[in-house]
Amino acid sequence: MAEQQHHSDEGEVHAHISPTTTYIGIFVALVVLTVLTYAVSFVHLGRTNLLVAVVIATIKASLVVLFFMHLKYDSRFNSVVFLGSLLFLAIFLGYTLNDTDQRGEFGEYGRRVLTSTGEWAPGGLPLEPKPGAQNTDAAGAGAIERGKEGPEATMNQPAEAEGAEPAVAGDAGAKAVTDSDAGEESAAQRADEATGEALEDEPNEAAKAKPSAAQGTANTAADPASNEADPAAADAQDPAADE
Amino acid sequence: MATASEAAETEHEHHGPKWLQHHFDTPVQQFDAAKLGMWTFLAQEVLFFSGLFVAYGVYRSWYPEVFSIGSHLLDKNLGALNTIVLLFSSLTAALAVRSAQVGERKKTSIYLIVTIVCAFAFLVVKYFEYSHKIHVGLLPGNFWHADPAHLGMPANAVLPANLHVFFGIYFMMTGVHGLHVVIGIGVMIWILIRNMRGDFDQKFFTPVDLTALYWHLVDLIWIYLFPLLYLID
Repeated sequence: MAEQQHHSDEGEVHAHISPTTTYIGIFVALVVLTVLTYAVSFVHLGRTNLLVAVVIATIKASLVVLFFMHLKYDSRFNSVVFLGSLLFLAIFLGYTLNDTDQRGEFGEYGRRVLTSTGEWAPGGLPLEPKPGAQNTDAAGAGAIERGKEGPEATMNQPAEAEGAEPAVAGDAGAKAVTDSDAGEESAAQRADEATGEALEDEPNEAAKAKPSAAQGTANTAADPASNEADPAAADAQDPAADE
Repeated sequence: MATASEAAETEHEHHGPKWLQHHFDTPVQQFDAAKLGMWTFLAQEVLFFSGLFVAYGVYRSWYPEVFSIGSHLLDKNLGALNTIVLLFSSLTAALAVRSAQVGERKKTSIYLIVTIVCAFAFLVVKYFEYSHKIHVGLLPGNFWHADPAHLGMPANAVLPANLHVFFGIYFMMTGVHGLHVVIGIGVMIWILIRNMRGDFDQKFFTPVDLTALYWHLVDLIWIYLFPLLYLID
């Protein structure tokens, strides 16, 4: 049926009507892009695979939004609303990933080591002792000395804390989260050893890390980490089974 | 059609046809308001799903090997099939709106029925996917009880420690999406009934339009879910 033309309408709706061939053409393009993204997934491009997949998905999404959802022919403000939601999605995703990617594994004195580069993660306590402070703890002084040499020097050091439970090797994927004040040096060293062993191990090994749970210093953030590791702990040695 | 609106106009006199609500002056004002309201809702839906997508992003960046292996445990052929099914259903939804715009009531009904059938087909494929995973124990969180032998791997193969995290995210994302498909089916059946009842014509097709917009969004979400979950290298 042909579109009727109104000249004396009283606020009649004149929505743009796309021809059937346009819709079918867009559908064909979408199928082609689906086949393309499926085919590309068999090619090993490493990190680029994700980028290619997202780019193709965005092209498909744009076709659906512009033509199937008529946003191209609609009032401009509807586009503003939709693009606004994408803007906030981008902020949410961008800021969160930026933050979580810069969290490292637990290292010396509450400083975390980025597992990807082996460097100190941003933040954490300073390595240098406060001016005028007397450090009589042999383990602590040694730790500061080793810390100056960088993260590698602090790995694989035996735990020097007394009366503390032996540390359990932590899976590189399992996040061991603990508060680490200056007074918690023994906890730091046990967790450090755990991290040191974990970094040597295959990331696939199932394990659980609960260095300070017994000392009651585990904060609430530790619970999701240990709950996460719980079902996967196939061969974890856990003397500190207090949960 | 003509008689209904004429009868209504004698009742409502200077206001307009029966579908023109009293707080709107003209049909185009009502239509624009309805569209804007729907786009605002769709913007909310994007933000609604964004929580799950950000969770995906964070956990994938933390456990890339877990996501790679988890993705290989999904059936990408079924995922691709579901993608084509949803894309086709989006086409038929758009054609349903077009038919309503030109006043072809029967075609609108047919396209709506085809869209609903495609939606059910999507759910059937999901049923097969889910039941297989439940059978072999690829379940989220504490319900995890998979072992390599049942997954076609050598018995001494070691699965990554946090694989249940991947499946938690998989079930949440596809599950919430599937819930939206079910809701979409319900809404489409209702609009189909209304169309068969003669509620819509060339001058008033807004509910069909808005329903199709919702369905396109469901398709949009899947367009991203498919490569992100099924096509990880």
